Amino acid sequence: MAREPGLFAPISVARASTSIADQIRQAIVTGKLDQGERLPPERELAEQFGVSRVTVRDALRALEAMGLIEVRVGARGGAFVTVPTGSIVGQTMSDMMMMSAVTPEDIVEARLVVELGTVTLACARATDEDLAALNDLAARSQTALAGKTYTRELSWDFHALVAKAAHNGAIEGLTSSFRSSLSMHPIRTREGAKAYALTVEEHATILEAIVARDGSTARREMSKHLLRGTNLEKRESELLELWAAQPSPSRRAR
Amino acid sequence: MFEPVSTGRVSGEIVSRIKGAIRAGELAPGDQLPAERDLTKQLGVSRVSVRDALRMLEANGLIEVRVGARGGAFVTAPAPQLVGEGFADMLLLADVDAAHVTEVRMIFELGLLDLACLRATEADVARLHDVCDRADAAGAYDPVLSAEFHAQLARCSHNDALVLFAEALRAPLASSLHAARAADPEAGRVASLEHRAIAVAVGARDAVTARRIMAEHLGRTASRVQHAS
Repeated sequence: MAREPGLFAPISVARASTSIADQIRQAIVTGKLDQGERLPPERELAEQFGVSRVTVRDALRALEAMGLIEVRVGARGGAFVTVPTGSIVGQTMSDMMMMSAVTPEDIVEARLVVELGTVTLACARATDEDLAALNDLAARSQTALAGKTYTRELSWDFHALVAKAAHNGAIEGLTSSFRSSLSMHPIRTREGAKAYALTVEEHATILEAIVARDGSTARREMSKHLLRGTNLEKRESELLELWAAQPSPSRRAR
Repeated sequence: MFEPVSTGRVSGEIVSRIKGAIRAGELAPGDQLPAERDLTKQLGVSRVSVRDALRMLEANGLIEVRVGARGGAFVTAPAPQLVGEGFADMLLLADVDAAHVTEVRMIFELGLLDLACLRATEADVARLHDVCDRADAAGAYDPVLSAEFHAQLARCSHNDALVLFAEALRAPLASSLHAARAADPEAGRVASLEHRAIAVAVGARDAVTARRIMAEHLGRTASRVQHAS
């Protein structure tokens, strides 16, 4: 009997749920399924794929874990297509680092590599709007500090805004992944009011360098900021010397 | 009167319990999880919830389900490729352009290269040349050997976190790059020559030259990826 070809082809191999998850993932990343769109009900999917509902359910759980769908319950419920967020990717990164015996020192160094690259780009590309957002955060940070309500979240906000000023979506995504993965691997143990006052002061110095579009000062201040309290200044000194000699990048991605 | 408890929540709770046990070191890679039936009993939840939780852990790369007589769910470390896939999906769906991904790769690979020049041992450098020798012997451009060169170079940094990130970021670009190189064997030949020149520069601890060659090497990747897409 001739049937209208469905969106998905039937499955015939073992671990059918993996194959189904793959097909749906492909349909999402190639734009055949749009963000916010609802997937057909489990029953219908089972029919299209030629598998049991249990197998479809397995596939949906996998897609949910990857952040590609969101399952809502209730009358208007179902599985809806979503865009994976930095925090989902960051979670996997975090698990990977935790289980691969990556040391906190290695992570600080990796962050140095990324954030010195980021702040250099921010110096070249920050718009008036970016600078206004950074200035606004600086003011809010001062207020929070005075009211003893400063938190690590505000500190991460600074790094997120610097990443935004780099005008590179991949860097923004990576920085948001760091936020969720690195906050689980605290490097500095002491984070009292005194340490926060230093943080805010250092952020202000970095912002000044961004405003002046002075990449080498921004890199130097960012590295001091990231290395404070880590006992890694000596280990990283040669690396920082190499970076000090770097030319400024172009204002646009090549 | 009451909202039904969604099984998603229960399975999410099971996932975080198991992750917690891994984090606390009670479960290590290679360990086998209790059977579904036992987990159901221990946690006082339905078998459907346990099953859902296992599927989610599997999708996150934290367990591997093996079938057969000695089968079961085993704890594993998520592979960098998995992070790469997640990252690639995120970038693709957020419409991030290939040039921007290359720019980030550039930041990682050049950072790695600086560290390689500072820290590579003689054995590390010998391994880089070994990969180049095998590529020369193979003649045609081999994407597997190219990936091996970059992976070996990453290890010269002696920083496991950077090795993982570089690996994760390479994945989103790798397939389109290979398609591009296969279409133009000349580009593959140039890439092999550049690998050798980088190996020589790392051996000489010449970070400036190594960086220059790597920037050209990756820059060409960027333009080819854009042509391919």
